[in-house]
Order: sequence, then structure tokens, then C-alpha cells
Amino acid sequence: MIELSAVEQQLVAQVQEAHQGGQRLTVGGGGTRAFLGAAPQATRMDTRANSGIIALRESERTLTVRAATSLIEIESVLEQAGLQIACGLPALQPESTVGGAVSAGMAGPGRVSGGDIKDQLLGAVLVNGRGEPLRFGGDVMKNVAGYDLARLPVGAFGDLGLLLQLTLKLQPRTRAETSLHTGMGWEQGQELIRSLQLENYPLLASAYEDGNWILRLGCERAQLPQPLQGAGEQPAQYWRDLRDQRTAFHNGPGNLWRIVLPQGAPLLAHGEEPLVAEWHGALQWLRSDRPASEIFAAAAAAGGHARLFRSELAGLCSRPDAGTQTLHRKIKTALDPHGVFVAGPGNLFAEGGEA
Amino acid sequence: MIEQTAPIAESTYRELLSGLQAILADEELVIEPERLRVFECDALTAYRRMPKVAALPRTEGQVQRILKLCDRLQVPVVTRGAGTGLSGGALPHSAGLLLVMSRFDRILEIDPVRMLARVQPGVRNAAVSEAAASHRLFYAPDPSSQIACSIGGNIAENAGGIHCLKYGLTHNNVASIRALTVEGEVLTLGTEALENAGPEYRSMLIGSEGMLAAVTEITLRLLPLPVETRTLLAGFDSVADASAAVKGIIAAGMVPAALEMLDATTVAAVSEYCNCGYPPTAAAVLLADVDGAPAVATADAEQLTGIFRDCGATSVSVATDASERARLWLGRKSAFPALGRITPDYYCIDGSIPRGEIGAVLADIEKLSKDAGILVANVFHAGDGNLHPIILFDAGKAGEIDRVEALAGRILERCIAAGGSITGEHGVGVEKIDQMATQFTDAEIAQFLAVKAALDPNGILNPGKGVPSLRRCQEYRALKKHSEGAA
Ligand SMILES: Cc1cc2nc3c(=O)[nH]c(=O)nc-3n(C[C@H](O)[C@H](O)[C@H](O)COP(=O)(O)OP(=O)(O)OC[C@H]3O[C@@H](n4cnc5c(N)ncnc54)[C@H](O)[C@@H]3O)c2cc1C
Ligand SMILES: Cc1cc2nc3c(=O)[nH]c(=O)nc-3n(C[C@H](O)[C@H](O)[C@H](O)COP(=O)(O)OP(=O)(O)OC[C@H]3O[C@@H](n4cnc5c(N)ncnc54)[C@H](O)[C@@H]3O)c2cc1C
Repeated sequence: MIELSAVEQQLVAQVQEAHQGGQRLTVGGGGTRAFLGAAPQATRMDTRANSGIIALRESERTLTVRAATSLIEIESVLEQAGLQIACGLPALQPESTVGGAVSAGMAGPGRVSGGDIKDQLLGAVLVNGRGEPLRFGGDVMKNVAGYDLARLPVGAFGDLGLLLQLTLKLQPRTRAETSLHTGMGWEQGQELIRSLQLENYPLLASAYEDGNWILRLGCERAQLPQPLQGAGEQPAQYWRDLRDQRTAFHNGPGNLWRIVLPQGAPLLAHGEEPLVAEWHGALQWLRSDRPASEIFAAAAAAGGHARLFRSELAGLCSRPDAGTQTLHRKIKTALDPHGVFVAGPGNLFAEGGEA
Repeated sequence: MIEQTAPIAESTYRELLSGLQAILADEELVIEPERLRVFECDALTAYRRMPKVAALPRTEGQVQRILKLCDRLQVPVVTRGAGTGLSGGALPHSAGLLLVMSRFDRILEIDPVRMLARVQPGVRNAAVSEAAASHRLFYAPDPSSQIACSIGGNIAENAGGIHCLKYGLTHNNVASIRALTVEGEVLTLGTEALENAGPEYRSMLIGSEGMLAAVTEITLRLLPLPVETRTLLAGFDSVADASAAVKGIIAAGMVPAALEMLDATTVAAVSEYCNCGYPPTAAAVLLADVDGAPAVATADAEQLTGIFRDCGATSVSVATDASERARLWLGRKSAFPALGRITPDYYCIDGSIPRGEIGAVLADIEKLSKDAGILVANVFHAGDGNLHPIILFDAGKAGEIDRVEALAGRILERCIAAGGSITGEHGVGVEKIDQMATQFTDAEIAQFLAVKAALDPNGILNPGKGVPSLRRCQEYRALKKHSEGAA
């Protein structure tokens, strides 16, 4: 049986009431997106009290937390234990929560070495639209009993249920670390990255800005190949600022797009449009005032998808195909037959998604 | 336990056949019992059942029409890959159609820049890495059955392998999946891009044991081949010491590429069977790979050797060159045939537990084995906490199979009690369907059933597998309570 705290029991009761009374709820995490508003006719469900670490099992390298635990708190606890969440979870605001980060499904710079958000997730307690708390997955590395409904809510923006608890896989911090700005442009840097990959250098993250590739490696500089010996040092703090978007670029004027692509994708900036890339070029942050339809088309042509991240229109995103939309309707009904949960803004299936 | 099913009505069967004849060429349709016989079981051979018909289509269009036809006629469909499954997932339905995907055997594209392989579901697991090797890339999940098992079957079972500790399971290495619902709808789940948008429907399909959709194409993520690998073998005087070493390795923040354990019974059997250089009387051995850039592999091998010694290893050897490494792995890879020589029959279980619990759970398994008077050997993915207790028995002895099933059930329940799962990589299939009632509550089971019904309203795909009905759960729990009360 699942042990629920008093706060969790209240949240469950709130969902049950909504199920019976025909109300609709939009789950709020840290509420950092609150200004985007709740969906029409939905009440914002305040989950902030459902916070705290349930178990940090250092010797198992797993962490079980309540969903509204702040990312900052998690990070500082893990830091003390010499552990981390491999992909990095962007803490865009001090209030950002782990439940919000998992529901948004957007990984930090560590994606290229540590996997995406679903790769960090081992288990979840999810409250479905009937107000039933359900445990899927677990605290173990491998578990294939039943359908994988633990990872299903990743990227669902709260549309498929309320997450109460999450179990995440942890990774040891590397023994040594070196961050360098290579002085190399787009193509030359990508070639270098490719050869570092093939030579198995521990490449933790990469970023491209101002026409220059910056690399983060999990080893001493002395262990790096010749072309990198003379490269300039980059402060390690850079990666956290990048992850949490505390940069002049991310906070500049105009529409900010987040474009996710396959490895090896071309640069999507036109002319002088400001762009910062991560993930060896597979994540491109683009400041552009081109029409949304043009950005969506460019992302799709390169095998990826785009989301308008910062603008009055934030939330616009590439539309899933018809098959996925039908699938989503069916699975949504299976989990939430009365449609209690209304996804937060930015979800893929929102009306008027793609322009 | 196989659920009884009603035979197919004669008129339905005739309609099915004429429908199939319109979709398939003669040689793609099998109805003769002697030709159906090869499909009667997967690698869990204790369960056998003849399908009514088998279809061996070559195109997605054919699969789509077959599924629609069967859905309309309410004829059960069991999809089959290579039939190496260990939980009866591909066990045919006696009143149904077996959808054999073996002819979807083409690697469609290896893309070295995007590091992707686009393949059909019938492609053998090992063939992907073979095709990618010239680009210095490989497909990481490597089940021990990799020369035979299919990628479609790997997707359906979320297969694991020796090197999943570092490189992840199937679900960590799949970019996108193309699949057909029983209503013939095409699903494209996941993306070639490095992050999915929207709910993880890709993950929901992975490990769904052929119960939600038929997979017709998969795009896999490839990884750079390890430049250098060191293989370490450590012998221990006790299982407890070896288990403590596993715990120590994880706690030290190491990520070996592989970390496997073999117990005394298995070590003795493989030492007889092949020349693998294991200390033949060790109570347990650990076999590990560390890999990466040369400096990393060297440093990791040193650190690992230190942990082994600190935990009381009586011998540690490190192999660098390929032939020495292959010799050490030969022992592990020969475990099943080697055990097969010392027992008429064996039965492999697949419990998953926290890594720190290995010592305690193995001690309890030994106790359960003694109580039952049935020998259990252990050879398993220790670094992932994925146990494979292997029950050695003689099916010829009266009542033995029932005792083996009972022992297996107790071992799985012990895994659940340790905070684990009844299956780490082999799936539930027909085999572990009863224990689902212990691992999950009725509400959780009901949620699984609702998801299934959403995609397969007539319950055509692989019925009677994976997720038990609520009634069956209640009956099983009542039975268990009763027998526990009696004991
Ligand atoms: C289009 C878009 C634009 C963004 N722009 C910005 C920005 O300009 N500045 C910024 O700081 N951040 C931005 N973000 C990031 C967003 O705020 C992150 O998701 C944040 O890190 C999570 O913080 P939170 O806890 O406040 O979640 P919230 O913002 O409260 O929630 C994020 C989503 O997750 C769901 N959710 C939260 N908790 C749960 C739960 N327990 N169970 C189920 N669902 C849950 C919510 O319903 C919502 O859909 C943006 C995200 C998107 C999608
Ligand atoms: C000696 C041996 C060693 C093994 N070692 C491992 C190991 O290390 N790790 C591990 O994980 N497993 C292992 N296995 C188990 C087995 O090989 C895996 O489960 C494998 O993934 C099954 O693949 P298959 O193609 O043989 O599938 P099958 O046995 O044919 O089918 C398995 C399941 O997949 C479904 N299925 C197959 N193809 C499709 C498709 N195209 N669409 C939808 N559903 C489909 C079937 O319906 C069935 O439910 C081992 C088996 C043996 C015999």
C-alpha cells in the first residue's frame, strides 16, 4: 500500500471531489508559470505543501521525493552526497519544483551525457482522474511488470494526473572536471565533438554561443587531446547559468524559441538572429520574430520540434501528428474519464497549439 | 496456468481464412498442424499451445489488414518475434492467429551522423551492432539471446542485457517506434530528436508485451563503441562478500559497463563445461567490464580491484586483450548450457531488487531452496539488482513442476518484499501473471486494464497475458491467504 502524508491525502480528496462534482483542475507546481493562467473553467490546484525528500538512498543511488519539492533543495542535498540528476533539471525560478520539471519534460545541458528526463525516472505515485493514488515503477533499476505508466506523465504538463511522488535515478559527480572555450566555430566544433565521442572522452555537455563552442569534460585538462590543450578556461558556473537561463541571451527581447533536433542538425538561425545551442547542436535556443509557422516548418524539416518559450504567446508548440492526438484522447480518457485534469499552458494538445 | 478459451466457431474460421487468403500469398499463411508445430512455444517451453493459423506477412499494409480483420471477427492475435521470450509472451492462442514478424528482417538505414539505426522489427539484435560497427558505433542493449532475439521482441519486453548498467535498457536506447493498433491506426511514438515532446507514449509501448500494438518499425539510438575495455574477475569465499562488493561499487560512485555474479553451483558447472579460468571452488565470482578512453578504463580497473580486495576477494584478475577477455566472458555466457548438463530441466526466474539487498535476498533464496529440497543456481546482472535464480529440477518426477512453481512464486514474493519487482527484463507473459496481484493493487491493475481497453477495446491482442483480470487477482490473493493460513 502507498503511504500518503496528510497533505497528500488532502490533495487526493480534492481530486476525488472534483471527479464527483464535475470540476476541473489545473495542477500547479511552484507556480512559476502561473502568469500564463489556468485554462478556462479550471481551478488552479495548489500543491506546494507537498514538498520534502522521502528517501535519499546514497548506496542505491536513488532519490524519492514529493513532487512539489524545490529543485534548489534537491540540488543542494545531492551536492552534499556527491550525487546529481544526470541530465540536470532546469530551475528557472527558485520556486521551480521537480514535479513541474518532470511534467514539462525539458532536460538541461547534461542531456547528451545523462539522458533525457524519462531516463532519470524510476517510479512515480500518480493520482488519476478518479482520485486513486497509483504506484508505478519503483525504487529498482529494472522493472517491466505492467505498462510503463511511471514515465508516461513526462512532458504531459499535468494532463494525465497529479504526480505525488517521484523516484529518480542518481549519478555520481565526476572526479574531475574541465570546461573550455574552444575558439572553434559551428562546423569545426562539431567535428571535434564527434571525434571526442568516438574516442570516448567523457564529454558531459556542450554549448555554442557567439560563434564559439564551449565544452564540459569529466576529466583533467592534461588528459585531453592536443587541440584542446591551449583552449581557454570557462568557469564551471557557466553551466548552471545556462541550465537555469540566467544569461543575457535568454532574457533578451523578442520571442525565445526552444528547438529540439537530432544530433547533427544544421544551425536554424537566419542572418543575425541570436542563437545559443546545447546538446552538441541538438538543442537550439533561437531569438527570432519570424512567424511561428516558419519556425515549426524549419524544426520539422530538420527532424525536430519547436516551442515558443518566452513571449506573450509562450506555450505555442509543434503539433503532434493525428495518430498521436487520437492516442492521447484515448489514454487521457482511460486515466481521467471525466476530464478533471486540464493541462497547464504549453501542453502539446492545447487548443490553438500550432499557429 | 493457462486460461481456458472457447474454440473458434467454424463460420468465423472460414471467414478468417478467406480474409487471410486475400491478404497473404499461399506461402505466407500456415494452417497445417505439422507446420504450425514450430510456433507452439517460446523459450519458456513448459507452456505449449498450437495456434489456429499463423501469418508471416512482409509488409506493414498486410499487418494492418490482418489486424483489422481479426479485430472485426474478434479473433485473438499473438505477435511473435524470434520466440526467445522467457515468460510465454509469444505463446500462441489456440483459437487465434499468430502474427509472425520474422520476415520484417531489413535494416533500413544506419545514420552515422545522427547516430541512429532504422530497422524492421524482425531484425536480430546483434545484427544492428554488426551493421553499425564500421562507423565505430553500436546498439547497446545486449540480451544474452542477442544472436537470435528480434528488436521487435526487445521493444515488447524492454529487454536488458549485460551492459545495461552503464548504457541503459531498451527504453533508454529507442528514438521512435512505428506501430499499428488493432484497429489499424498507425502510431509514430517518440522522435529522432534528442527529446520527446508530450507524454511518453513511447515508454508506454516499450515493455507492453505485444498487448497494445504491433510494432512495424523502430529507430534505435547508437552509441560510440568503447575504445578500450578491461574485464575483471574476482573470486569470493562467500556470497555475502561478493554482495557487499556490489553494494560497495555502486556506493563508491562507479559505473562499470557490466557487473555480473555467478554463485558456487554455477561456477562449478561452467568450470566443468568450458575452460574459462574461474576459481572452480569459489562461493561466488563477480565479472565486470570497465570501458571508455584508455586512461579511464585503466583508472576504473584499479579502483574496482581495490574494492574487490577490500571486500575480501580471494582472487582478482584483469584481462586487457580481446582473447583473454573473451575467455572470462565464456564462463558467463556458457552458464545456461553448463547448468543444463547437470540437471534434466531448469527454470529461470527474473526478480528485480535494490542492489543493497542482494546479499539478504540470496541468503533467503538459499533457505527457500533448502526447505523445498530443490537446488537453485544464481547467475545474474548484479549491478542492476536483477536476479536470475535458476531452479534445477526434473520434470519427470511426479509433482515436481508444481513444487517448482511454488518455489518460484515464493522467490518472487521475496523480491517484492525487498522493495523490488517480479520481473526486471523477461516480462510477465503467462508466467508471472498471478504475482501481478501481489505487486499491484486492484486500482493499479484496473488502470492497466483501462489503458489496454483504450487501445484494444475487443481485447484481441495477446489476451490472457501480462495483466490479470481483477477477478483473477482476487482469487489469487484469497488462495494465497488460505494457503498461508494453512502453513
Ligand atoms: C512554454 C513554456 C515557457 C516557459 N517559459 C518560462 C519562463 O519564461 N520562465 C521560467 O522561469 N520558466 C519557464 N518555463 C518553465 C516552467 O516554468 C518549468 O516547467 C518549471 O521549471 C517548473 O516549475 P514549476 O514547479 O513552477 O511548475 P509549474 O509551472 O507550476 O508547472 C509546469 C507544468 O507541470 C504541471 N505540473 C506541475 N506539478 C505537477 C504535479 N505535481 N503533477 C502533475 N503535473 C504537474 C503543471 O500543470 C504545468 O503544466 C516555461 C515552460 C514552458 C512549457
Ligand atoms: C538463452 C536466453 C537468454 C536470454 N537473455 C536475456 C537477457 O539477457 N535479457 C533479456 O532482457 N532477455 C533475455 N532473454 C529473453 C528474450 O530473449 C527477450 O525477452 C527478447 O526480447 C525476446 O525477443 P523475441 O524476438 O524472441 O520475442 P518473442 O519471444 O517472439 O516475443 C516476446 C514478446 O514480444 C512480443 N512481440 C514480438 N515482436 C513484436 C512486435 N513486432 N510487435 C509487438 N509485439 C511483439 C510478443 O507478442 C511477446 O509478447 C533470454 C532468452 C534466452 C532464451
